Amino acid sequence: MKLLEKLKGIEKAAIKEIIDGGSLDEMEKARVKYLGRKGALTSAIKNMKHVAKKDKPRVGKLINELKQKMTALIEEKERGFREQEQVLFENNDATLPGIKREVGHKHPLIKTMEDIIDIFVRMGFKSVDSPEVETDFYNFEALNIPKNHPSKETFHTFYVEGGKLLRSQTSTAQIRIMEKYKPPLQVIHAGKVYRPDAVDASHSFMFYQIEGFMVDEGIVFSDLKGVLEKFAKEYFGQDVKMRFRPHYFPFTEPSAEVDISCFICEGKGCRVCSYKGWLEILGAGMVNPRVFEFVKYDPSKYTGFAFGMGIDRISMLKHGIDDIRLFYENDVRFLKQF
Amino acid sequence: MRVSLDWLKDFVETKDSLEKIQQVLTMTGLEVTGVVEVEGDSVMDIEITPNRADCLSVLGVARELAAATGKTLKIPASVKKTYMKQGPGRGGAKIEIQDKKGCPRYVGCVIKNVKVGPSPKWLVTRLNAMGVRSINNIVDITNYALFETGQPLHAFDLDKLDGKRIVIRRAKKGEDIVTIDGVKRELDPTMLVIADKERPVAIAGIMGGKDTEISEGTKHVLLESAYFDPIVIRKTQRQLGLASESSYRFERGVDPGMILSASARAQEIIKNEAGGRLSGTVTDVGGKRIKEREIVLELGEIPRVLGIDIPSGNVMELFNRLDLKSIKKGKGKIVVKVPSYRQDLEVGIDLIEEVARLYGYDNMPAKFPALIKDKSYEEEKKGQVFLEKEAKRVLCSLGMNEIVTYTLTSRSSMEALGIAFDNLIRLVNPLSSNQEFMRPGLLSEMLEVLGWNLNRKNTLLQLFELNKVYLRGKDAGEIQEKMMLSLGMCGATNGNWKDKSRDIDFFDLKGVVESFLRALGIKDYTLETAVSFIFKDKMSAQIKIGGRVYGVFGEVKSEIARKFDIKEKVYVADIDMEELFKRVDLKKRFVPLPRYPSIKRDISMLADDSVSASSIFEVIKNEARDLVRSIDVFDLYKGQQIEPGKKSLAYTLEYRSDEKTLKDEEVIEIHKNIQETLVKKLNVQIR
Repeated sequence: MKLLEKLKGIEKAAIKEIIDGGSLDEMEKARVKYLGRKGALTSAIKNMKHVAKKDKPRVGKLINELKQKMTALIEEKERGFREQEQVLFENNDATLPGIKREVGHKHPLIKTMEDIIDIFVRMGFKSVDSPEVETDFYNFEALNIPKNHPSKETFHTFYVEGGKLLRSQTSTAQIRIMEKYKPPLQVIHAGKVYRPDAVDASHSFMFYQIEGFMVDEGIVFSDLKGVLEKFAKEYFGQDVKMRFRPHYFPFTEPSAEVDISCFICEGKGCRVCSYKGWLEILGAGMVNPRVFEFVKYDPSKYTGFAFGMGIDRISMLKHGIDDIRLFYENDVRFLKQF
Repeated sequence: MRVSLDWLKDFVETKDSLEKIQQVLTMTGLEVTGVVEVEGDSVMDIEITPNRADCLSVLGVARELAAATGKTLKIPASVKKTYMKQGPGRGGAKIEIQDKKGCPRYVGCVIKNVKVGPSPKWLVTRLNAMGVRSINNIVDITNYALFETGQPLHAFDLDKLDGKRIVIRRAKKGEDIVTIDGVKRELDPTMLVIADKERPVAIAGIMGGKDTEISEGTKHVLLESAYFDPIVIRKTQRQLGLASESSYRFERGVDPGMILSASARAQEIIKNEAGGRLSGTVTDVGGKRIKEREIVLELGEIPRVLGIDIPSGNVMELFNRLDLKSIKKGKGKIVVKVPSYRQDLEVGIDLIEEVARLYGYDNMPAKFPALIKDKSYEEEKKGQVFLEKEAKRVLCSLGMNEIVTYTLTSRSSMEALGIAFDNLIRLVNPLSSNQEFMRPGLLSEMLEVLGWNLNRKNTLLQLFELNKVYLRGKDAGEIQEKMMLSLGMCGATNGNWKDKSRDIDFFDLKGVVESFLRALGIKDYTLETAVSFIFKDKMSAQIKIGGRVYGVFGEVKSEIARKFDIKEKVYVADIDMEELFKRVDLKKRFVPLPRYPSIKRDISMLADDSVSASSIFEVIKNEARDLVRSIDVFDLYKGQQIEPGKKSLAYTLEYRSDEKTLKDEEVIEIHKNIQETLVKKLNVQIR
């Protein structure tokens, strides 16, 4: 059993050498010396032919164990050296900037629109689509805007070849939906509207509006107040105050303009609210019975409310944007702020 | 409209502060939008809605203030006269109405021997407050009466009127007039004019003529107070582009009950300030007793619309404050008499609005309506709103930024993209040639936005727009609004201290397209090279599903990009979302996780340049069948290390079976077959 003793000797020497080894190089040397093709263990295996047949399994097993033990030991030491090396040579300055990942940004107008729609959808409103290219009937007549009436002046309109027009307000959706379906209705619609106004910091010939309406038996002005107050609190914050001012729209009566207390100065008066303490956010009212007549609803049976607001304006107020053109220029330095 | 507080207090006795008055007016529907101080007076700027023509005067605003605060209104005695029927007496004005539709009523009177001169200080001050400069006492007094009563008046120099008479008629073809602003204006037969024997001396309801205006030499005055048809005035005003304080009021309809009174009010002040005396009597052509409109209101309608129950006595008291006389009629009904100045009140709902206004919108309770459950319209565009949102969420998560652009586009953009005009929807009245057409696609706007940003040194651009385009439908006059998606990319990735920056290219866009399709559950698509007018040769592809093309993408030809002021390489995609949404599948079904391990094997090969990645993919796929789970290209090299016309490719293949753990031998076998087939079919060299 000379081989056994020899193996023990190899083990002892190898372990000492590995444990004492102080570098990756020395580990490599030890690997070559003991485990390599011409290494001590390999030559020990070659000597197996001199081992008695009955001892062969035992010796073989021993050699294998030894091989594993030494490999594991070398690898463990190597790991340690590598870690040390990393600390030495790789970067250990945690104050270097992180590798940032760019997220994409939704357009602020679309974000505003979706946020507003979501609030009304949670209140049970259904979001629908409605065309932008419309006829005089949907944009004016059925909304009780008579021809040659000064009220039509507020709604300058683009016309397209063939007699159609680009709608000047999303209220067209009221007519479209009411014509198609019977009450009860609880609908929200957002989309683009057009007015031939020269473009400046507060005007755009195209902008976004949201229209909401609810029609059924027993819908009253108090419901309109309740729904809009809930919206204002959810969107602008629980502390916001609201006021309804009488106003005029041909398609609603009674009509109101709705203000919220300025959330920038908290009603004290500032540049944004023109020192009034109030910000006008939307127009609303009870659906005019004449509109019901146009869509063949019985005005003595049904009542309803409707409201509309400019998304551009709301988004500008909410984010403190002072120029409407920024929305449509799409400078990425602007887009990435939202 | 501007209203002087001082003047207002002539009509309403109030000790309320300016702030309180502002608040009250605003909350009854006359929004005070600003206040300016003029010579110690406070002048409010009030927004008058188009239905409230009666509030376009100090008196009108005073009536509202009195009604809102329950205070009494003080009206000058002369303004109280509402009716007088007098023909052309001796020395009175000679008036003939030839167009009764355009001018149903004309009141004229002659005041002789006036002293034309500067106005007294009080008058100048009041006009100043209204933002009007003083001309002379007579003109100023007509303006004063206009602002006070809302009835426009005009004074002619009687001696300058040919035949000393007034004829109200349409203008004759070829007639013209120099108006008091010194501008010569061509008239046509749609326009109503005030004429003398020979020629027009004023454009009715809009502006007087220069020739007959009051001057220092004027001795005798003819004072006009009339009712002109709102539509006629409005059309003429628009046609001439000439608006005035008068036309503003006539267009909205003046108070028929004020025509005579306003004249009387002006006569009174002229007598006091400019002397003179009325010659004969006042001529009132077309004057008749004004019948007050009666509206029957069912009291039950008030709670049905407003949701508040107000006792009938209170309702009648609110009406009383508005000078609406009401009497009970039968059960639950009242009859309301409407004064002549409230032309806007026609039916019951108009009265309900008055109740709401005076009751105070803020005093009405807020409640939440019962939820409506049955919604037949729920199917309207089912799910599309959700899909749009989901598509945007995916694109944002891929690092793309959303843009929103104008839907009106220019002729030059269409030309640049080779789009014919014939089928486009053209605006009849565009603001400028930059917005002449409704866009038929999103690419022109995407390229414009890319150009805009590149010119501002925003170089890394990863953009998308999901929005509508507008096309002619199959039927004549039909217009189709369709949802499209455009993608736009250019520039270089953001480099940093670990990773070098590199240029964005076609494959970045292709990657976004593929990730987008997969995230929407679309798996059965193919991307095939395509030829296109706007894309560079070979560097474009189309998205196909089941033989149908859903979109194209690629590198924009540099000559087209240059037309959008872009010098850089830009990559865009144009995708029909209206159709693609139908292919979206967001139903997620769980697939069991692999139970057996996978084995990865690499293949390196040298291939002819003409051998496409997709042909290699096909060979591998066919040969390995369902055992290969992923095929990735991890290296591509062309250059000096290898012979020209060749490329070196390296693939990693992942093998896995769902039935068992694959043995080494099995994988080696398949892998060898793949390599052999690649050699045989594509003539590659395995390395």
